[in-house]
Amino acid sequence: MFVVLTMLFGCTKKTGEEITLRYLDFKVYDPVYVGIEKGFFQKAGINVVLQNSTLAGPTAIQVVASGRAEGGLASIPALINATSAGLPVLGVSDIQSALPGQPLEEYFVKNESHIKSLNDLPGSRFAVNLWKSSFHYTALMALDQKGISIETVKFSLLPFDKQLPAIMNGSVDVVGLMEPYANYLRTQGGYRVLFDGNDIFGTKQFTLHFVNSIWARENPKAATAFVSGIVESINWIEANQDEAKKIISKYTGVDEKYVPVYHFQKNGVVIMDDVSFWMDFMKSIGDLNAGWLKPEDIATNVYNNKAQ
Amino acid sequence: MDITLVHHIKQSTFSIFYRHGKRLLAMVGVIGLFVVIQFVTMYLQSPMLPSPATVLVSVVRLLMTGEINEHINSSLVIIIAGIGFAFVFGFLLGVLFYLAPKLEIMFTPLLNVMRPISAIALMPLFIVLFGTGHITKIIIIFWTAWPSVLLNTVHGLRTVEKEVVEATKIDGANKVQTLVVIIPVALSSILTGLRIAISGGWISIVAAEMIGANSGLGFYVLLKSQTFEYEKMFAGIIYIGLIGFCMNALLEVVQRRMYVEKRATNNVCCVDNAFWLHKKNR
Repeated sequence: MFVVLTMLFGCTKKTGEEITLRYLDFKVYDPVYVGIEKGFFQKAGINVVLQNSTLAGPTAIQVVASGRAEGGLASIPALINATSAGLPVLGVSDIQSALPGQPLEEYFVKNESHIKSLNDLPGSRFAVNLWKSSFHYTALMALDQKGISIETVKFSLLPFDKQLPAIMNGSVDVVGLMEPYANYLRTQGGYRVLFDGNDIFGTKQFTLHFVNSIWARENPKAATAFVSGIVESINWIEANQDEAKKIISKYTGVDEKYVPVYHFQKNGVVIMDDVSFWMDFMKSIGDLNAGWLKPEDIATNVYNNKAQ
Repeated sequence: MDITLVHHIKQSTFSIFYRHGKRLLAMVGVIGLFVVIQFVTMYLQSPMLPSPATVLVSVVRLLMTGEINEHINSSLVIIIAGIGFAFVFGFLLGVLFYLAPKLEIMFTPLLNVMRPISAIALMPLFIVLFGTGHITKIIIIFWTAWPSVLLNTVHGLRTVEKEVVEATKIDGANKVQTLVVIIPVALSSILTGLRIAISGGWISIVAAEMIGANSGLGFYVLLKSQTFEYEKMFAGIIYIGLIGFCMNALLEVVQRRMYVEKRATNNVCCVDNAFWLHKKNR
């Protein structure tokens, strides 16, 4: 079905034997930056070219699915929605996982807020960066765990950068942030974390690098080279956190002092149980009706040589 | 066939085309585009490009199920409030500039700097000042809409025929009384400003409803884009276009009537002036 579209827009650029992958980056802590800086992709036999587009999630999925780029990053719920809609995308490696001591998703309130615990959430105004995203779903899970009706909380859509002024002037009561926005709010003072990803679901993977699945099927060696470059970068980061901070700072423009120590799933593998976890939650609230969809349709470790 | 009858049929057909030619041409354009897009989407077979027929089914279904109603109502409230404030502000400022040209000279450079600044660029400021509720969205629409009302009000008042203005002066009217006479004459131009403002308002609604929204057509389009429900996304876009079209058409009818009345008013003024001059000269 997508072959015509792919042929129309052109999917892969080949320069001699080396394949070029156009990557949509989002100025977050991304091992792809390290892979480019340290030459891990070249070593693996693929030329990764940043598109400097600052796109992620559903928008990046649309660009990759249309064949105008080959790779990007998106939350697992976004990949589930895309795949159920028939878009040719496939998660291939880890980029954001809530791990012990690394919640990634943090939900802030003002120090003086009447909301002292999750039980105080009814009647509150909640900002999320995207609708039906990992942040939105985590907040819904938090309400569900406390037996609070979704109807009692007013959700509104605000990009991360707009959430900061919104909580500062009291337009919303709770904001859901990730780095570097979370760290910025912490350094401002006057705010506390109400709950985080670890509190709600423990350790879970929620964002993946993804590729155009048609491209991956037609260029399995290139897909493998891309994932290999990412895995090598992840392993290098785990051993060289300070140097990695410098590289991330250089590529994202975020001051080095705000770049945190960062961890990934071992060898960047996709945790298929976590993909199932998100699918099950989406089914439970009626946001996923595609009964035919399997976790293997959303993501794979096939291109990861180090996955067991 | 009777020659008279043939002639009659020919005349009737010509008459229909003559009277409804523009509408027929517009319909041909719409249907032509529909057919072209239908074939393109059938050829591409992409889930991101649903066929126009599928989208039209979605447009009807959304209305039948009531799924879109809440969003239409929400956007209409914001649009009407934003455009309403923009109209009042732009109109009053235009009148003020007409009455006090020095004020216009004083503020025109500032207004010319402000006009090109997109409401989207000012969003962080609006959020700090007005929060993320309906007021910010109304302000965004207002910001986009008021310049066209102002410019057209000033233009409309300045281009009222000299004879009309002179006639009021001769009758000893003060500035306010003169305004009462010339505003109806300038109303056609003022309404043009309002029509441009409404178009601009609908263009901004998507941006406005990206901020702190949980309802509205802009929000709906964004939500369906994020969840890859393209038929519904395009249906939402069509609703934005259709409602904007209807509002514009309504104003066009009003404006056309105003134009007829303006001509009549001018004629009356001219007759009045002629009569008055005739009496004076005698």
